[in-house]
Amino acid sequence: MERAVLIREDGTRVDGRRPDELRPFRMEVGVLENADGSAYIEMGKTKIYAAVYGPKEAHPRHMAQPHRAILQCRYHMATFSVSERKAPGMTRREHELSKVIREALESVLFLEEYPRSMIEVFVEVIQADAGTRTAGLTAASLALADAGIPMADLVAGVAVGKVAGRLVLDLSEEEDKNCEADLPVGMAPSINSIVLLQLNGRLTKDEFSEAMRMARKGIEVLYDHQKKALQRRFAAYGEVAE
Amino acid sequence: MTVLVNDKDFVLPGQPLTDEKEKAGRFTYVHGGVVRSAVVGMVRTKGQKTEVIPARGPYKPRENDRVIGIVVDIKPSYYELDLGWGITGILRARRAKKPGKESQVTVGDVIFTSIAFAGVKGVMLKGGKDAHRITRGFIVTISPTRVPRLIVRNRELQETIERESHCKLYIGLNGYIAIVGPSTRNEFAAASAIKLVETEPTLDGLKEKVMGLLRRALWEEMVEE
Repeated sequence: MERAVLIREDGTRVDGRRPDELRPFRMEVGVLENADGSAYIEMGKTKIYAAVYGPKEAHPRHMAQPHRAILQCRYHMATFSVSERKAPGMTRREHELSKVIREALESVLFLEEYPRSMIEVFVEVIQADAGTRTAGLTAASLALADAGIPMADLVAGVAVGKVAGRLVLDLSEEEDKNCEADLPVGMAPSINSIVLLQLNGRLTKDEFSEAMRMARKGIEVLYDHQKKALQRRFAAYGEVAE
Repeated sequence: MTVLVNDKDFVLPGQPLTDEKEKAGRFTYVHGGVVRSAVVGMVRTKGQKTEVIPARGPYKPRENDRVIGIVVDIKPSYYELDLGWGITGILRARRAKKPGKESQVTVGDVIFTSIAFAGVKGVMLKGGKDAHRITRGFIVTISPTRVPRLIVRNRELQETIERESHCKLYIGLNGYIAIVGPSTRNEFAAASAIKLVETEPTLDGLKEKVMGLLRRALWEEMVEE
């Protein structure tokens, strides 16, 4: 079977992007009225909502921790988010990504500020086109900031992949399916901390260093837009506080 | 010594505020010798401390805060009060409950009191003269970050609402506000005014808008009568 050409002769990718270029993206904060905090993100064709509830009473109560809040995270893909209908229940992959996103967020949140309580994070993938875990993490971090949960820094994430022997930033679905390696990275840029790092496939040491450099560059762009989205959301706040 | 932001600057989580770590106040933390903001909010210098006032967020109990709690459980020597946001306050009973005797306080009672202690051991509430049981009226819930809007400038908005609606407001910093008035109509009118303050805190001439809303609501009542 003939393999798709993912890198053209001029070095650009199948969708016309440069190897170190992100897909077009959009972020919005405070999009859901009923949640304590919420955010929406589009990365290419990927569309994700994140919502935060809490801190609230921990349920079941035996799970409550006397010294800190517990964080619960649910990453879920809508039935209609993929081209073939997905069963509505939680799959093994969704359980794994819920755990990965929760652990990434736990490393920046000051959960000890709210002992005996619970914070819930819901990441709902409306349309999936690769990079859902990193986009979900980016949106969840915005939703937590919107909810006013104390945190050390915002978190942004992006994946770097190896496609046709070249490293490329922010894989699309087609690239994701045919890549030789996939490296999702989540960072808290201001405090220079890596909160999520996974690798599928193989990279040499040099490739890994280069991939991390590309990821950092992409994350810094996303981080700037996260800050702008929050500034838009709270544009009128200065007047209130005075 | 470097101060990286000014008073009333809008800041985001992770943003550096100052490199004098002894200045770290509320909603800040120290990382790498630099004080940074932990929330989205506005910088305020209070005494020697640099703190951040959150733009949104849950209630964080502090000593001497006036709060409203709802009794959720009665133990032999204390009551458990729900303060919202998953916070349970402990109010010691003046006298231990005697077996077989009815307690003076019942589940669902609303208590207006102050916080005696808030820390790792939990939240202890003040009893005695500081605690006041509210037996009438009803409670509205607003965002705790909007409560200061009601009590700022010598409680200007609170007094306006009380004067125009003839209701008494018990304002808990935890976002619970008890409204006690001569009639349900008055109480509902006061609740609408409070909700207006919560949803439109930046409105120009908010005090006049609140007065207008209450006068319209209560004037209609007079006309109907």
